[in-house]
Amino acid sequence: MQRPAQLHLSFELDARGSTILRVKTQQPPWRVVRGFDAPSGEKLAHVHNVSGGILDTDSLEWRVDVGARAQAQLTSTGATRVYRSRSHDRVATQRAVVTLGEDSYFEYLPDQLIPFAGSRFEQSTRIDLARGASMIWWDLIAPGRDASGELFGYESLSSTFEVCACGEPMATERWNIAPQTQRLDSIARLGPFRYFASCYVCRAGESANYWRALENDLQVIADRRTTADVSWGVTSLRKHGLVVRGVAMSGRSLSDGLVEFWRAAKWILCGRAAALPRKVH
Amino acid sequence: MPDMMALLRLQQFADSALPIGGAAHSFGLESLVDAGLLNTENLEAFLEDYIQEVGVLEVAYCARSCELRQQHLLTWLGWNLDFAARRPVRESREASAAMGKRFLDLAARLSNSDLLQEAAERGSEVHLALCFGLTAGVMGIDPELAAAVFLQQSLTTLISCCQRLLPLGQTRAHEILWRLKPAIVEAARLGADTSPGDVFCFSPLLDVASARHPSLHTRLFIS
Repeated sequence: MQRPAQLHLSFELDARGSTILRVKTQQPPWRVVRGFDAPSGEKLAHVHNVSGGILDTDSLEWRVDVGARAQAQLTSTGATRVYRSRSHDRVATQRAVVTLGEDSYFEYLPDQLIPFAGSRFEQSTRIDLARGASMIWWDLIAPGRDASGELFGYESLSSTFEVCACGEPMATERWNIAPQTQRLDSIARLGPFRYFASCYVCRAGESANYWRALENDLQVIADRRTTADVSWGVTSLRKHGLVVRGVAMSGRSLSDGLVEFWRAAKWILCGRAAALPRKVH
Repeated sequence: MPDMMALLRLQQFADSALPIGGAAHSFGLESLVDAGLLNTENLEAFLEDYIQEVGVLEVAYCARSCELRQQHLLTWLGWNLDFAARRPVRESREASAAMGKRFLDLAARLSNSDLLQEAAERGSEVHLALCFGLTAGVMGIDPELAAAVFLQQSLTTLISCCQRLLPLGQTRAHEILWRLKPAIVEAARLGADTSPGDVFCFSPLLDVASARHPSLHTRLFIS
């Protein structure tokens, strides 16, 4: 059994009350250079996968701890490419664990995930929010290398995504896509669309009325951005947050939409103007 | 083989005329029809895939609830929270909870079961699939059978909703439900054999459609 390659980041407050980044563990292919000061006040870190993508022999793990009142922003340096599996049965895996301390703030704004033809990938994410912790987390899944005409050529892509607040489950996604055996163009799945995205906006302890009001505010953006080629919906979770979901014919329309939802949600959630993380490549 | 009395009671609880509000909800189908994505031509294929995704998830919780023992009521209430976490869309989740509460209150009243009455008196968030399973278990029904009956009842409700949204006649509606039975049986088997936490469900378009439902200009349904 291969030992997973680990990355462990800890965002903490220093004595002056500024957020600092401690890279507690980083094993290849993970690489984080240092923390940058984002214009909106968070400590920004770029996560590099120096191998350029995910191989079927990869077993990856990353952990992020955001201490009480610390503010952090995490992004990738480019799209996550999942390469064609060279073996008959190996599945590349990536596990993420995120813990957010009381009154902390965390944003995860990665580039899209692109599963290449013949790839197999399994990812799981577990996020725990303490009281008062806030989070904006988006993800965007491509059907493959669209520009090369490669659509849904991968073998399998599965994901488990769990968010808990104060020890109680607030959202759980668990899905598996196997394009060779599933009708992805079914209206019960993606219909005519190819890309899909989610953006979770959460704060542990905020009232249901708060989320309904934010749902209404963001739904205005969803309505404006919905066309024949892209469709957005916004909905409150059971407690502590909401999720924006989108499906589209192109990745660009989803990524542009995610940025607008993020900007609006961040302004309402914490009164700070959002600035896209500077990329270091 | 359960006794005839238990089967008759199960049939009553699975009747679409049960006053729990099922006819008021479309669970996102109204939005799909409004967007021009769902029509009479693709309805049957949609429902078959819906069974494989949403259906299996619901029957897994239904079947697991059917196996519950009296002393594990708190565990069951926890499963309801897990189920709610897996239903991201507010309107559909609230519909499931509202129908679950009405179902449980009615089942507790009719059956005089201590377990159902205690569950109803807790006043916690409960969902229809789990309440149906819990009730079937009290009556001694096999979990897989309970899951199949629940799923058929759910599909009957969705098809009935489509009869109000689409030019879908009674005969065609029953043909569709008839042809879906192998998929229902397979989903019930899979759901009964799988821990609910392990069940996959991939329905992003349905999630988006359900989330867009409050924005529709005219609506026949609450969800």
